Amino acid sequence: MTTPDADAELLQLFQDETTERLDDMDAALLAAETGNVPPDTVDALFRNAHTIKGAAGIMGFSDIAALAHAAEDILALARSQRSLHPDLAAPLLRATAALRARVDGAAEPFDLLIAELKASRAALEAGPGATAEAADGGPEPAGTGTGKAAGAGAPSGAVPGAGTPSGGTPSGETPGAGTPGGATSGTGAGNAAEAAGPVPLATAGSWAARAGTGRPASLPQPRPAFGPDNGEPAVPAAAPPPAASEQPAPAPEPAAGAAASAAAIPVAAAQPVATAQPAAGPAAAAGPPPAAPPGRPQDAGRRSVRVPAEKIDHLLDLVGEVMQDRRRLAHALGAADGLPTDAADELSAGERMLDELKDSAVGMRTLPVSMITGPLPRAIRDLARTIGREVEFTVVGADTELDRVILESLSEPLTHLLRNSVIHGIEPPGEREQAGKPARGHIELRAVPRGGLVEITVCDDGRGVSPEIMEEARQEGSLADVLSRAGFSTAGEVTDLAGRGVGLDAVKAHVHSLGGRFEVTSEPGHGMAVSLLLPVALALLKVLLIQRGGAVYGLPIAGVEEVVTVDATTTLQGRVSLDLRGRSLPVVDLAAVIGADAPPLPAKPPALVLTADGRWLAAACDGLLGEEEVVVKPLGPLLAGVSGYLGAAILGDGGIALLVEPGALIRGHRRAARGGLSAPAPARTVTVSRPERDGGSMATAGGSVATAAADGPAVSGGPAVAAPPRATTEPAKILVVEDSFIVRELQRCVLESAGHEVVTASDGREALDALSKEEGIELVVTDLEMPRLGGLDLTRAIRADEARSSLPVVMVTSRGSEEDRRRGMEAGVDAYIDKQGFQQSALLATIDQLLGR
Amino acid sequence: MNAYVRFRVADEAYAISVQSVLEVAGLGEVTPVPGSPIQILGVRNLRGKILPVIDLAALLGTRRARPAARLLVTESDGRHAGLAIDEVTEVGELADPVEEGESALLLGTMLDDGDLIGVLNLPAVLDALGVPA
Repeated sequence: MTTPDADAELLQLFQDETTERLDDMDAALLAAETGNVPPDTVDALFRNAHTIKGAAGIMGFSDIAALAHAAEDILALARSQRSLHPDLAAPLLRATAALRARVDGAAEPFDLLIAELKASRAALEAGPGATAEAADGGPEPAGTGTGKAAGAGAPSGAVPGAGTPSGGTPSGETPGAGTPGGATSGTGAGNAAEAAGPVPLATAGSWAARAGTGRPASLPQPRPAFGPDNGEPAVPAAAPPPAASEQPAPAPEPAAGAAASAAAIPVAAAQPVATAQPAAGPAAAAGPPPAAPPGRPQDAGRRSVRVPAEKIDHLLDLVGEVMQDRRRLAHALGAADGLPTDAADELSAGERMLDELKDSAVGMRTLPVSMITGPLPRAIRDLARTIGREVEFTVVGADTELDRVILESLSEPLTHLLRNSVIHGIEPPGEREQAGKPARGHIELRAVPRGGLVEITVCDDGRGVSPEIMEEARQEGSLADVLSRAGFSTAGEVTDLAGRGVGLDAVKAHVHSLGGRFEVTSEPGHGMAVSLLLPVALALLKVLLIQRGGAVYGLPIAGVEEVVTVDATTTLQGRVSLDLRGRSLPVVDLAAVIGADAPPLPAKPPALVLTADGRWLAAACDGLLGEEEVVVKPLGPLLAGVSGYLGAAILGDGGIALLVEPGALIRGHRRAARGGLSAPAPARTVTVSRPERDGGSMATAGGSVATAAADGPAVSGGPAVAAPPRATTEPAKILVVEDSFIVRELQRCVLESAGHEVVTASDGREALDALSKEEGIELVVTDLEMPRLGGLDLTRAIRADEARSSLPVVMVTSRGSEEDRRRGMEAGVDAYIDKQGFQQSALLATIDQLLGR
Repeated sequence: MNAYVRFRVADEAYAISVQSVLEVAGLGEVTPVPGSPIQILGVRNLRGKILPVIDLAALLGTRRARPAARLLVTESDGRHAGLAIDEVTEVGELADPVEEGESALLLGTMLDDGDLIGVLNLPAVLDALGVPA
């Protein structure tokens, strides 16, 4: 942006502040668009517009000042009416968008926008009396359609004598006050309309018309100058002075009458036009708009000091150094026993203060998530409108705080995720209604603190990813992987899901580089959720320090699920895995994955359970040293090419801990494992029955890291299942219907190992085929979601067939909602098995029960 | 004539311009960084900063009988690196004219009292290992 003679620093301040205020205004206006806003929000809107105007004036940006002024005018009137009509939001949003663009350096003329705002205001002012009265609960003037009409185009004729539409003055209280006599059409509104002649009331006209107010026939019919989406005023309208609206005094406001005048003044009315209509008599004296109503505090709530970010960064660096120094000192003193009591007291007092200092330094670097969500509602609304979607966007946890640098770096990824949701997730309204969903889609951005970390989730209730992709994800083990795989988007281009994965790889890589975690979940037809688990502060990272081969490594707490002791393990194809509550995890030596030289692991080593991209891994090490908050230091340019590290930390004893990125460990393991027959999908190892072994095979490390105790009995539950049923169950012929190859084979394995004979089908149609061809099928185990013919339709078809109407049907599904169960039961499903944490024992027991064995 | 730091790597003699050397220190405790090039010994804590340590012998192809003991802390275009050496022999002026060396890592060679001295090209050494400046 250019300015005649503004000092650069001042200019930057102006840009920053104006942008902040525009963010505020956008948020409030978007709220206004969906319904009535509280009066104090209207107040705030007004103040923001006013302050922008003032600042722009000082800076010499007369065009910004003029547009802000026009917005302020409307808002002043709205403020006096204590409400802002939803339809006024659109023109005001156009104004804030233009102001934003201008502040960012664009140079579009504002004339049309100003004219539009003025027209809107004129229309608004035309009926303030009616509104005020309706709001007061007074008798509603005949012909007023609704109090919610905000007085727009109100039938002023119905309020005879209320000639002064002094903003907010309840006409009922000032009957005839200031009425310039019968010479005029009797009302301000009449003035406005008549003076304007054929001049339409612009947007306001359109909403007034929609509001359904009974407009007296004598008034010219407002013709919407521009539709809600067009934004091009055909004819500019009046520029009313705002003076009167500031004071909702019951006394007649001389200036107010002027509001009705000056219609049909051409564009470029940068100055408020105060030309009085002769007929409006007393209004002739309308002066320039007051700067502000007396007594209004000038932004008392916004006391802040602007400090360059680098200074805060430096402060935090220093705090980190002092903390390290402190640790070294404690380390040195710790060697010498018998520290004097007073010295020990001093030390611990210093530690407390240092902690406090650290917290406030971190606090300066953290900012609420709302800092970057400001423009989002607006962007989503605009995007949704452009492509014909209806979207409701909510932000939950906007005051959750995150490191400034992280937050800033998230702005683009989040925008990308939200864009994806709008474009690829939310269906067109018609399609949604057909699918039994509300026409308006819902997108939510959620920021939740989670134990020293922050989880940011973008979820929508759109169509989700296709069942084919889900299937692919099932086989690969991670939806995040499938979606973020390079080339995915082009591969999927034939479908309307094209682009769903565009840029996801970049988002994922970014989250990993911050030491965070990236996850995607979806339910076809019902939506999708992308979660980013991030550290609160970038420079200070909570890590778990571990030892392997004499070296110390730190892993961000975010990536460590829990710590277990590797006790009983199974080996399959030379790969070691252990059971954790029914989940089979590959066990690897940390040293082997990162490529460090180390002696063999001790017996029963501790292992960190890591997860990234939906994959799990247990990384074994020599020992745990504990949890610590460390200052992350870069490894520097010479080592920039070495991947897998977040940096290094200097420990209390002066040693260095390399900070390992958990995602890299998992990727490293996969690379190493890929040489095998297949991807190490956890489900695979489950299919192998194992000998009984004692419970208590694992124990947690106890520290605050463990999210849950890996209790022994739960672990031993897995292998205990496969063996006993073999003996107890009488064989039956069972049809397994499942579109996922892995799940189908898993179920076949479980059932066959229990002695059953298994026939498989990959969807409902194949199942019906099999039922008619295969003799003696005694029971059906089916999935819910399948291509061609799903589980529910299959069940209905079975029930409809006389010969098989009593064939037991077990549904294995991941959708365990009551509604699904009800639908299933209605279709004739006999039993449900939850696919999540698939329990072999539950499936076998259910089958036994249904077969009466 | 220019000022050089003369040092030994195993049995060989090298020199580097004093302008590149920030300090000479003990090798200290070097933490290996698995996955890094073998010519990088690891990282070292130098007064709170992480300093990568280059195994100069490995880079220059010198056979070493015993481990390095000293560290030349150097800087070039904002890149800091420690060079693991055996000992600093002398800091002083050397004649500038040097013969063209065959190695890209050397600016050239010179003879001093019958010793063949390689003059290290620090930017080239760093380029050979990491990200170009």
